[in-house]
Amino acid sequence: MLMNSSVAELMQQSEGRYLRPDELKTLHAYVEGIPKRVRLYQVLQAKEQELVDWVMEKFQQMMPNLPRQHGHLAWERCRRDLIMVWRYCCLAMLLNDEDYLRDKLLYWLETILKSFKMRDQCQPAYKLMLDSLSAVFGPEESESIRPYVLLAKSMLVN
Amino acid sequence: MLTSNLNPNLDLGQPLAVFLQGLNWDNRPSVQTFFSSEVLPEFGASLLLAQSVFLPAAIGRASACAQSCRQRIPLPLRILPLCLAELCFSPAWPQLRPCFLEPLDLLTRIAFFKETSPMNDLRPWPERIADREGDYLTPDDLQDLIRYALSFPERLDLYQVLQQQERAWIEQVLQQHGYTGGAESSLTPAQRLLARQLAFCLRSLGLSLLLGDPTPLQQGTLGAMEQYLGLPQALDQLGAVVQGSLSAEQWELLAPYWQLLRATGDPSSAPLPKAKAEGASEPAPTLMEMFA
Repeated sequence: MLMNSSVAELMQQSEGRYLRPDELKTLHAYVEGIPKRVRLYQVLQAKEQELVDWVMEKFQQMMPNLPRQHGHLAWERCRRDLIMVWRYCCLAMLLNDEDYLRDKLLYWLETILKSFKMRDQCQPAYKLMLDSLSAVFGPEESESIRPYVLLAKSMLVN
Repeated sequence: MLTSNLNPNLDLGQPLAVFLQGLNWDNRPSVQTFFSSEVLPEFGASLLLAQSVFLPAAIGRASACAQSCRQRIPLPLRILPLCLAELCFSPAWPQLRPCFLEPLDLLTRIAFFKETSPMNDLRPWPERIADREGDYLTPDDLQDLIRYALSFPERLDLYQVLQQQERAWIEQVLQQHGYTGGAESSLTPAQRLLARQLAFCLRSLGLSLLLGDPTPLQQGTLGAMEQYLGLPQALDQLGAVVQGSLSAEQWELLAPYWQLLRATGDPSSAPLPKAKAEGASEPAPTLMEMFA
């Protein structure tokens, strides 16, 4: 099973014994949500390109001088970072686990952005990513991923 | 074997019943659990079925599925296609329709996933996720995930069978090791240790089955003490007892995990990792060669 940090902890703690009814109930609730999360994950995956195009188009209009400051690969790098953040957000949603997003990407990327003093310049991109959710997705998909994008924005550029 | 979570206060001199209590017998839920296999998970009704529920093809497919998988599908779901065939021509159908979408959706999903290749849930999920980091999970992984979720009620049922039968099964194995039953004080320390190891194995097996992850089974090792106790033979005996007590469908579900347990516990039957097996005859490259 796809384990989030709480299920992994449960597995560790239950070595050598049977799960208690309350633990089984927690596990059951988690497993019950899997089919829905898989369906949402597939929709989010299918529309990645559309979302990133939407963000990039508006971001380029807002920050036309970015390549002058950061070289001709600036837009390419920006797109790469947005895709990376998006994919980690999607997987965190599938896992139902914000810790995964923090541990695997955000702590690292936060340090990179800070060290290159990029937080202010990247700020509009993540705001646009949040805005794009309701433009690109339906309410259910949008609400499922929003907490993770918000988390990414708050850690990376706020 | 790792036994760190077993009750450390177990007294090897105590009677069997007390000892077995120490193995958390009191931890098991009653047979009437808080949810049963008859309660369906709340899957959203798929668009496919929402659009096709009136079509005879959908009913036919659901009917065929209910027939082919009847051992694994609760009765209310199995008779669903029959009910639908009657009800969809009824004037009350528009009001009834929403009630049938969810179970019919579930039935269709079961049909789809049972017809495709068997689930590969013996590959640990942390490994799968690590392999796909920065990318999306593969369609196969997602399919495995849905299959796992759909099979969870069966897994839970079987998990509870393991929990309820553990004591009886271990007693049967101990009887083959000289335990005569009844006179609990006649149980030797070695037999008690063996019982403890068998219980640990069964619990790891149950957890692996329930979580659909081999990790709990991979934590065991077969050391000198387990060899001395005759754990490999006892596991074979336990396997026979368990198989004899379960239905064919239950054993089919459990068998991959059982094989993994045996492979983990018995180094002679465990296949070597491919890379190591192939490269065994070649000397390992030096660091300089690796980066040349």
